[in-house]
Amino acid sequence: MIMHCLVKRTLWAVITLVTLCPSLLPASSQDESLVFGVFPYLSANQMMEQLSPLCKRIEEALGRKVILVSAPNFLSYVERTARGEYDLVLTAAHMGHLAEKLNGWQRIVQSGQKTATVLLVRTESSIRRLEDLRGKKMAVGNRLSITYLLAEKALAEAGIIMGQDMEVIETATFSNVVQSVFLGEADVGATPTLLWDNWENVNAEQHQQLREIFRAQPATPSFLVMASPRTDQATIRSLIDSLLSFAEVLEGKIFFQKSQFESFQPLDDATIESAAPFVHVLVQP
Amino acid sequence: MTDQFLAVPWYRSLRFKLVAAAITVELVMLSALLINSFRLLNEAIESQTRAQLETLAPLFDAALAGRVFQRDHAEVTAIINRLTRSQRAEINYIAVLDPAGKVIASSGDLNLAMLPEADHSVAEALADLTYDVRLPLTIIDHEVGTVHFGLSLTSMVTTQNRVVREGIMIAAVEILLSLLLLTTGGYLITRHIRALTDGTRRVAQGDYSAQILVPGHDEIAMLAADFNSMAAAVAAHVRDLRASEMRFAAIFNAVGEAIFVHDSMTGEILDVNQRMCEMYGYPHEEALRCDIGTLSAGIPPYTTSEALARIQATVAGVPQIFDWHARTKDGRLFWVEASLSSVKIGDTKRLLAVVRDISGRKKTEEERNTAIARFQTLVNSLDALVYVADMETYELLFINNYGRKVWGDIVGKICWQSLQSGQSGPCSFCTNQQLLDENGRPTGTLVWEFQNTITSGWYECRDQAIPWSNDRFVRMEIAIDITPRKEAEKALAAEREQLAVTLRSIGDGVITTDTRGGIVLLNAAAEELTGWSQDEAQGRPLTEVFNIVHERTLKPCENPVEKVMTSGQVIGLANHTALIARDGRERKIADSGAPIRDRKGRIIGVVLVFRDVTEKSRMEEELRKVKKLESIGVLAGGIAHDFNNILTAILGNINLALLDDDIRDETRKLLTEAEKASIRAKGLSRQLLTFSKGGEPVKEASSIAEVIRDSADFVLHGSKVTCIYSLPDDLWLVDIDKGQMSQVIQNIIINARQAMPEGGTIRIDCKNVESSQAAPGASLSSTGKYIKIDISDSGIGIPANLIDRIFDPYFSTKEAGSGLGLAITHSIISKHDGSISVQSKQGEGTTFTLYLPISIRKQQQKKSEEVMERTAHKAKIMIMDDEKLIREVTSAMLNLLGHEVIPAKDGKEAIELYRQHQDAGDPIDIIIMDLTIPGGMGGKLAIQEIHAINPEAKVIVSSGYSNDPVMAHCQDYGFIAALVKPFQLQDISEALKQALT
Repeated sequence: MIMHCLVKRTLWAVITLVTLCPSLLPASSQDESLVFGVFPYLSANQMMEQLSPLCKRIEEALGRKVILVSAPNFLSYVERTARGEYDLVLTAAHMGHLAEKLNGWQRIVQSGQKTATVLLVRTESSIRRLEDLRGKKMAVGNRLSITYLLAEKALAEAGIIMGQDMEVIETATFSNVVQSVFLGEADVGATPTLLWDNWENVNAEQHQQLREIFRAQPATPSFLVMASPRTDQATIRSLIDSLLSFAEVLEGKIFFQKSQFESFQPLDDATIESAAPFVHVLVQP
Repeated sequence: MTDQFLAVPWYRSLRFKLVAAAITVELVMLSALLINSFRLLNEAIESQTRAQLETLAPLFDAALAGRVFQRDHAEVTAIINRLTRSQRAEINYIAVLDPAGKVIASSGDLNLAMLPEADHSVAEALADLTYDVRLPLTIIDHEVGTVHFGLSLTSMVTTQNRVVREGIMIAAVEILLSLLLLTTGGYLITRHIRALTDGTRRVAQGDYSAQILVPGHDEIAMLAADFNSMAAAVAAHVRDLRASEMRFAAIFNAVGEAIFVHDSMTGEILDVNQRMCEMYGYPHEEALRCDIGTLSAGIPPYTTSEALARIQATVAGVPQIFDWHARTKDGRLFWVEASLSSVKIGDTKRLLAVVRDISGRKKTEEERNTAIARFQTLVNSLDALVYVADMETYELLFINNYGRKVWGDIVGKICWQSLQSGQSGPCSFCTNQQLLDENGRPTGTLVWEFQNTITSGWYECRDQAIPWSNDRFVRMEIAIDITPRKEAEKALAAEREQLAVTLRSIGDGVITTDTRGGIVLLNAAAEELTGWSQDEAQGRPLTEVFNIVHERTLKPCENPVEKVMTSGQVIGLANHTALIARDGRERKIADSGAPIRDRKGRIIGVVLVFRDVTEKSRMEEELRKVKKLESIGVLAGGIAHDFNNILTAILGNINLALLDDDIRDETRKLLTEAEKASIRAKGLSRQLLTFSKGGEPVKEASSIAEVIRDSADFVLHGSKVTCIYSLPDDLWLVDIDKGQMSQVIQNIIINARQAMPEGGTIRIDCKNVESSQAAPGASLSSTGKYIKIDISDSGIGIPANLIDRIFDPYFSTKEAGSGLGLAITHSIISKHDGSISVQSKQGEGTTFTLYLPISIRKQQQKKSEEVMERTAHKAKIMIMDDEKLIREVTSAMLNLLGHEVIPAKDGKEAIELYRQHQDAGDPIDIIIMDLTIPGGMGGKLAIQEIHAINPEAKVIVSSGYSNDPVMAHCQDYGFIAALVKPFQLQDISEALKQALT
């Protein structure tokens, strides 16, 4: 009787599981939209404006709708990447490095543009060199960014410790750094060259009113495109082919020019390794 | 009926109706007011809700879009919680969804499993008093998510209900008050109406004197007073109407036309006037009993049915006027004109027929129609188009049978649309304007020709303006088909054109004249040769245009027209006729003249055909010279050969004699003179050979400049004539026999010098030219590059009549001249494939122009030294010549040079001796062979036998025919060198040296 009851319950459990499983399993990837997570290096508006052509390219390559999303800050972005909330990411080099090593994210392409940090002051400022920054206020985008780390390294070599020898104002995104110096909220700003050189949101007046006092050597590519570990190889291949050939079409040329990405190139081991020195800031104790 | 009126029930009373109507109106208006208030409240709620949504939508977008994009869940949740909990926002719930439809945040009373559908109006939202809204969240037109929220309508609906309740209460009170007021007012108004009713009935019964008495001064009392006035006025109008009726009857009967009044539906006669009775012979009462058929002829179309049809048309609104065949009471038929019109008599529609007797007019019309029929018969029988068209409207009023057959029955149509095609308006060639003068009077008949655009036929048209029936002028055109005549004219024109084209195409000049010699026609060739154009020459005398003279005497030739007219036969012009063109240019022509006869054989003119034979004459002259030179060449060649043989012996022996150291000085002097004379004789012989047929110059690539300068300097040495050279350094080389070419230059320079006995200047210009750049007179044998040599003097010039003969052999104007110089020059240049021509003007000078083809070979290096020396090597030499003298003198020369000599008299002997020496192991080193052995084997054949014995045998050819092809190209025939007779010791020494090295 007990046996009979046990068998009966097991059967019911199996039937229930079979009934419920299809609804629990994720829908076919071909039917679902694809979530494209971008690390918050710009404001939402700027990001949406710049990256829409890239989304369209991916949609055409995969035949799936792409939902472009970001995150409130770098850390939450890194966490969400790790949790697999995204199917595809446009991420910073050190974040990509971490995602591959820890979560098995797969490589797609890297941007031709490389991250370098430029320090800007107002034209009339008396600041001429790094040593003059002692005791000044510096606007930065995010302390977890490679841009910040490159600035930190350069200042350390000049004998200045950020936060100790000078005040650091952390803005929401890099978009705000230039504006912050321009408006006089900060004495100096550390911003990626991506946003300073030929950046259409930095207008002629800002270029005239600001002056470069330091420019770091490019360290890593500014962006990596990576796919989640659950992405199949055919999809990976399609993405790589599509993005590497993006520069051959007019839409791609306009995209690379506006975004300053320059190009998409194959993502190799050396690139991944070049980001290793910056990963430590992303790893929370 | 009175009783019935007095017993009106209360519900039919005016008072009740008045109260009921007022209350009904009140109810309707108050209901409308309430409904409208309710509607306005709804609209206010709707617009208020939409305004609230329009305010909230951008706020939601601004507050949530960026955060949803960043998936900032905490911030999104905080915002929506704050909104749902705010009393002022009146938002029941908010849910935020991502683009995939997944809820990422929510707040308020909401079932997340089934979000409410969005409402589109307040009506839809009233069920749950929540206006459900769905808004997309966008960043730069990209949807990053959606927000659902419910807007509370509770407060607005409560207000609406309160307004409706209070409105209904106000309406009910107003209706009660109105009811009381109207009932009282109705009683006061209707109490005097009965008196009014009685008065009205009396008037209706014809009692206009009845008065209605109503006390008071209100509206009812005033109405009673007005009614009394109206009754009096009606009585007066009735009296006026009776008087008017009597006046109408008098007029009706007094008019001159018969008048019928018919029933408009049946046609029945209702009334007639007095005139009708007179016209038809019926009394009035009897006429009213007649029907239409009785009063008509009864023959179609004058029957009852046709009459009724016209009546119906009139009733339908189309007045009718028509002629009718009527019948009187006694059966007489007569014509009337009836005019039907529909009239209203009282309230009844009637048909009024006014009939007028037109028997007289009809008779006149019949007579006119008879005349028209005759006219039409006449016009239709014409074999020409006759038509009449209105000159203002262009309407075709008439066209005869001929026209109808071709263009159809087009009467009534527009002439330019029917008689022509492709016209968008009146024809541009319309003659209307020409048919009337400025006062509008006819100008007469206009005759013109025209090709019709429909039939393409040609017509001779006779147009004139004629008066038409309405006294207006119309255009009448009579058009006769002249197409056959036009075609004949066209064919004739084509024939003339063809003749003109033929004449223009003829290469020979053609001039036709009339019998008096006046120019009629010149073709293009004649225009070019005479210099006169057809227009200029036409009508002028032939002798003015066709100026012909004898080419040498320049005397005018006989007028060919006169000659033809006199003889009546074809004639040819005399030889040496030259045509002097208008510009003075002179051409040699050959021509003929012939009479032009008409069909009856009468001479109606003369045709001259002529061509320019200048070039042909020049070519014939050239050919004649060549033939002359060839005949001389045959003779000269033979003489020169023998002469050279003799000279060889003479010169050889003198050479040998002069080598003798023992002779006396006087003898040496004599021998030297003899040698000089022999050398001159050698030169003469060479000159003679130049004429010989087949003689070839021995050419080598050389600079002509060197030859020119040497030859000219030589000739002019010691004279009073100077020479200016223009000899560019880059002159191309030419293949020339330098000796012959020197002779050419010398001959020309000698002539120039002789032309300037008092001295002067000779100019020699050389330049490189392409054959295409050559002067027109130069007859070059082939295209390519040439050296052009101009030798000009400023001497006396050559008379024009002699210039063509200067290259003739033995032609000379000088007493001491041989006449061979320029002939030889011409021959030499020809044999060099060149060209020579001369231009001269008496008193101004002469220019010889030479063209020589450039060399295809390289310049041979000039021998550096020309010395006679004895060869170190003693050779065994065979001399083969049929002339014993030559064998002897040559042997002596060879012996003197240290060689052993073996003589042979002909080729056969030479071959035999050569074989013997060859077989004996004592071979002959060199053989000198005469080229030509009369009656025996010459060198040309013998060398083949010798080379058969020994292919390496060295053979020198010797001949007095210095310009024989074998001598010019000896190596092509196997000889190693050529020895030209008469040769001297030096010549033979060089030949041997060439053979032995």
